[in-house]
Amino acid sequence: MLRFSKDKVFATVCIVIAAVLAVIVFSYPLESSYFPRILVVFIGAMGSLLLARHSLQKTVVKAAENFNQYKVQLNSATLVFSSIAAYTLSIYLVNYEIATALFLFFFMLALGYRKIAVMVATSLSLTFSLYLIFFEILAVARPDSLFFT
Amino acid sequence: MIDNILLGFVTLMDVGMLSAIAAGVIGGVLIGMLPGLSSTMGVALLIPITFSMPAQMGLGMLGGIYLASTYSGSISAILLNIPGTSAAVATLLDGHPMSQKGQSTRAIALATFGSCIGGMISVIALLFIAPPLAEFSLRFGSPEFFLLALCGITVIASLSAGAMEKGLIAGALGLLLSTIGNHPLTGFMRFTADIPSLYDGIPLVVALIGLYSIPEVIDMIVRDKAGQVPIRQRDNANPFSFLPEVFRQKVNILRSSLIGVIVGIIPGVGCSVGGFISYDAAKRASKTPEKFGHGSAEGVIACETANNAVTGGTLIPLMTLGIPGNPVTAVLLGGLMIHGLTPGAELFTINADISYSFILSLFVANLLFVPIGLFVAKYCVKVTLIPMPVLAATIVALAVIGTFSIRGALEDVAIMLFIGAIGFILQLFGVPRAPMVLGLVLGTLAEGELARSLAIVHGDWSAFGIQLVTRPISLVILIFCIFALIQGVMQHRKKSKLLE
Repeated sequence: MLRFSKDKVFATVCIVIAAVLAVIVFSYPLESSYFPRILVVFIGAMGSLLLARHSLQKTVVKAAENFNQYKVQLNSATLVFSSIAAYTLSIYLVNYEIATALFLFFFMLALGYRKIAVMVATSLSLTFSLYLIFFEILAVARPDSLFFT
Repeated sequence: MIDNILLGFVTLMDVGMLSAIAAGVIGGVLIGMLPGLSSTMGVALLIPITFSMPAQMGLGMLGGIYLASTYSGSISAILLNIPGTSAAVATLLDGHPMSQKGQSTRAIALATFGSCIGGMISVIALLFIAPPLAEFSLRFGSPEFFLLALCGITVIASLSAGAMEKGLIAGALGLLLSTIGNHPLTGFMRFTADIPSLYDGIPLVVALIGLYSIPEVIDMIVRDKAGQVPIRQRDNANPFSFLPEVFRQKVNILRSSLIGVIVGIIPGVGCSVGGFISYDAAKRASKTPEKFGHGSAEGVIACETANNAVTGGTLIPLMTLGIPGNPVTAVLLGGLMIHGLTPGAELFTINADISYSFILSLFVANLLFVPIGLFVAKYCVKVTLIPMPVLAATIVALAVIGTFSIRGALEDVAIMLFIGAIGFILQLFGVPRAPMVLGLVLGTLAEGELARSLAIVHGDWSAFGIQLVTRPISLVILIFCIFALIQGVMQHRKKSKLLE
C-alpha cells in the first residue's frame, strides 16, 4: 500500500516549482521582477516551512491515502480535460453549434448516461439556448471555424 | 439637496423609467447568474442599447444591471459552487455547503435579503456622505494601496481551512499568476512564453471559470462514481420565512455594510475583497466560528451584504471625482459620458435631476431584485435535481462559451484549462482555492502600487520601508495586517491543539 503525506508531497512540489520559477524570474531585469521574485522566494520558504513542520512533527501518518481514489480523480480529470480540448478543437474545425451539440451528447455518453432521448433533447435545446443568449441577445461574435461557418 | 431628492422621486414615478430599471434588474440577475458573464461585460454590452434612451432611463437601466448582477453571482455560487461573478467568490465558502445540506432556498434567501439591505445602506451612503468620504480616499497613496493588498493576504491566511502555509502558498500563487504579462511600469513581458493571449495577462473571469468550474465538474464525476450523490432533496421552503433570520443579525449586517461601503470607496479594491474582509470580520466576531466554511448563515449574510454594499461605495468616488472604483464603474463612467454627463460638482448641481434620479433608481433596483431574484432562484434550485452527466456537460459548455465571450478568443479556453488544472491540483492536495482567487484579484493592484512606491523613492527599499511606517494611514493598515496575521496564527494553533 502506498503511504505518503499529502502535505509533504504538496510542500515538495511547491519547493520544486519555486526553484524552477526562480531560475526564470531571476533572469528578468530587476526593476521588472521585484514582485515575482519576492513571491517565488515566499512560495519556496512556505513550502520549506510546511515540509519541515511535517517532518519534525511527531504525528502518526494517518491511514494511507486511498490510492484508488486518486486514480479515479486522475481518470476523471483526464476525461474532462481531453473532452474540453477536443470540443475546442472541433469548434475550430466545424462550427460552434455542431461542435456544441456533439460535445454535449458524447460527454454525457462518456459519463455513463444512457437516456438517448434526454441526451438529444438536452444537446439541442442547450445549444439553441446558448446560441440565443450569447450570439443573438448579447451579440458576442461567433468563433471562426474552418468549415461550416 | 432635499429638493433634488424630491425631484428624483418625481422622475422615478414614470412607467418608462420603472420599466427600464426592471429590465436592467432582470438582465442583471441573468447575467450575474451565468458563470463567465461578468457585470462589466453586461453593462458594457448594454450601454449601446441605452444610447437612444433619456439619460435618467439609460442610467437607471445600467444601475439595475450593476446591482442585480453583483447580487445574482451568488445564485450559481450557492447552487453550483461556481461564482457567477467575482463578487460572489466569498459566498462559495458557506453558500455551497449550505446548498449541499439541502438548504438551497435558505442560502439564496439569506443572500438575497443580505444583498438588498447592504445595497440599500450603500445607496444611503452614496446619497448623504459621498463628498467627505471620497475626499478621504484621495489621501491614499501607492504605499497605502500596496498595504491594502497585503491586508488581503493576511485575510487569506486567517481564512485558510487547513495548514496556514497552504493558504499563503495559494495566495502567493494567485499573485504570481497575476504577474503574467507586461510589467505595469516598464512594460517588460514576464512568463508569456511568446503567446500573444498572455501579453495582457490572464483575464480574471477566465481564471475564475477555470478555477471553479473544472475542479467542480471533476469532483461531481468522482462523487458520482463513488456513489456519493449530493443531497438533492426537493427544497420547497418559502424564501420569505428566512427574513426574520436576517433581521436577527443586525450587527453582522451593519458591520458588513460599513465594510462594503468603505471598501467600495477605495478605488481598485472591489466587491470580492469586500466580501472576504466582511466574512473574516464576521468569523472573528462570531460565537460559533467553527460553523464557518460548513454552511454558516452568518458567513453567507456577511459576504453578500458587503459585496452589494460595495456597489454604492464604488459610485461615490465615481460620481464625485470621476474615479471608478472597479471595472464595472469604469464602464459606467463611459455610460455617464455617453449621456453628456461629467462627474464632479456639476453632476450634483446642473444635472442634479439626472444624478439624483439615478441614485434613487438604485433604491428601486435594490428592492426589485428581491422578488425577481427569488423568482429566478426558485427555478434554479431545480438545477440540483438534474442528473450529474447533464449538469456536468452543461457546466462545461457554459464554461467554454463564457470563457470565449470575454475576449472573443478560443485561445482563452486553453488558459481556462491551465487554471483549471491548477485548481484541480490544489483540490487534490486539500489546498483552499479562495486565497488564490484573492491573489489574482489583488495582484495587479499590489504589483502596480509596489512599483510606483519604489519609483517614488528611486528604488530604495529602506526609504520605502520608512514610508510605510511614517505615513499615518499606511501605519494603521500595517498594524491591522500584523494583528490579523498574529490572530490567524493563534487561531490555527488553537485548532491544532484541539485536533491533537
